[in-house]
Amino acid sequence: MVSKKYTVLTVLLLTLGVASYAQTAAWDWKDSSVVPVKSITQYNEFLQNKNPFPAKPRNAWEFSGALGTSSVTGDSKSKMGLGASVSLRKALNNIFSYRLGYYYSYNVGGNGERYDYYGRPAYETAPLSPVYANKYKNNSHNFAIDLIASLNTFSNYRGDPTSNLYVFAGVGVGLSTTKVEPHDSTKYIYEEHIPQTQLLAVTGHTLIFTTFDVGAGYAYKINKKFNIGIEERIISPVKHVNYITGFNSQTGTKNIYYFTALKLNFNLF
Amino acid sequence: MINKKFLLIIGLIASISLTAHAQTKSKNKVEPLWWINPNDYVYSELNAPKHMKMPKVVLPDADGDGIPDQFDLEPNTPAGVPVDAHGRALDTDGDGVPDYKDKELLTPQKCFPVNADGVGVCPESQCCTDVKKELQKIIDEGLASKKADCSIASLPSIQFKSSTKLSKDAETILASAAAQLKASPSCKVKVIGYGASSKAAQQLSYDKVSAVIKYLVEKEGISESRVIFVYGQDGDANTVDLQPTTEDGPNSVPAPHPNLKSKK
Repeated sequence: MVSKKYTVLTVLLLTLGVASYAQTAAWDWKDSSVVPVKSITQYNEFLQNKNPFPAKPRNAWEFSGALGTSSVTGDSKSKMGLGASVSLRKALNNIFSYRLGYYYSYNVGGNGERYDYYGRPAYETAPLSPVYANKYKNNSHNFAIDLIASLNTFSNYRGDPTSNLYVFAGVGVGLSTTKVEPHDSTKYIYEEHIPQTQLLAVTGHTLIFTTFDVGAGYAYKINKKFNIGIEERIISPVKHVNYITGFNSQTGTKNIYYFTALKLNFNLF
Repeated sequence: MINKKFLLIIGLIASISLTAHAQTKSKNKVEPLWWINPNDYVYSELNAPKHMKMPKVVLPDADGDGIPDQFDLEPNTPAGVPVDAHGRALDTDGDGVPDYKDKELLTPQKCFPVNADGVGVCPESQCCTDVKKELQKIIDEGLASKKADCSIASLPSIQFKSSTKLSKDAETILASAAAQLKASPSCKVKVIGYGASSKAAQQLSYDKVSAVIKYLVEKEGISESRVIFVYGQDGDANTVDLQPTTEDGPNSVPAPHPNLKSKK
């Protein structure tokens, strides 16, 4: 295991090294190769001083891979889960950009407490049926499109930014599969949890629902092709969902994902 | 746990491949725009314009000589006067008077300083000075020999009694003097009258000299140009001296006090 860890670390460092070694060209307003065909008129007018504004250059997509922790709020107390994501981000202008992403999370939780149907701890009331166990294991997938706003101002005092603070909001589709340990089970095995709901869709044991998300992140530029960042992403089902943490009601605490990740971002020149 | 490792490895492989991709792909794109400060272009142009159309520089030139006031050392050059690179009117001979005022465009430096018209006074050459000296010498010598021509050593004086009328003796003396003068044509005669103490004495002296000269010219036929009129000198008022000379002088002078003229 130790040797593997070191191997992984070495590979990671090598990757960073190669990335930081990459030579890139700064934006040159004279460079027609970065001007899209539809803007070539403006580019020519600009060169002839007939138009004061340079044409917007063709800019690169950014690919991100992220790894981090995930947790879900709910009636059952969440333990630290695992999250990973890949995404592609493209600038609309110097402030706004959009991002297409896939987010995976593995969430676990529950400490054996029991709740009644209304989400109250079972010991507070008579043990009305049904009462469910809340130990769960959950696999979630989220496909989302985000609008990102960079909070960097256009500096009057230095050149290109070396760090980028941003906030975002988006919408998406979530898929969730949860296994629970029934409260009355003595075997303590996780079973497929069948949501008893008329939500967006239920395919087998998989719940499908719409989501919206908000978040913020920070990226630090290593070089023109590579930057590294951290991001906090909060994903909420649009409707009240309580099944992700294995509680089969619409009254308890709403399930919301919290995904904190370390991101490696690559500009795809 | 296997899943986690698998994910990590997949992620790393993706990273490496993407980085390698970034190395090889052609650069027909710029960085994502959030990494670009649009002010870069603006400030670069302000700092070192490469694209900016700079306005044509207009510098004031009050006198219109083609040299802007900022560099014009002579801001009031008259219109149309040719100037040098510093806006000063041309002065070809460098005498300090510009060409447009200079009446002598090429004054030699040895003739400096010049006057307001730019005309200088040239010193004579050594040769010319020498020639002049020689000439003067010759002239002086010639004059000296001319003076020596007057061989009359002295002429007698004329004695008047109280009036201005010439006596018989005086006429005789004047006749002999005239004979001497005629014998020496290069000689002139200075007729000197005395009497300077008062206006009346001066006038009397004048009258006596006039009488002598009148006699010499009219009776003896001595040319007027050979007579020199001198009166009013200090001395005996009844005497008029005749002095042979080669000098030049006036042969007539206006009466000093005509109202005091002798009635006789």
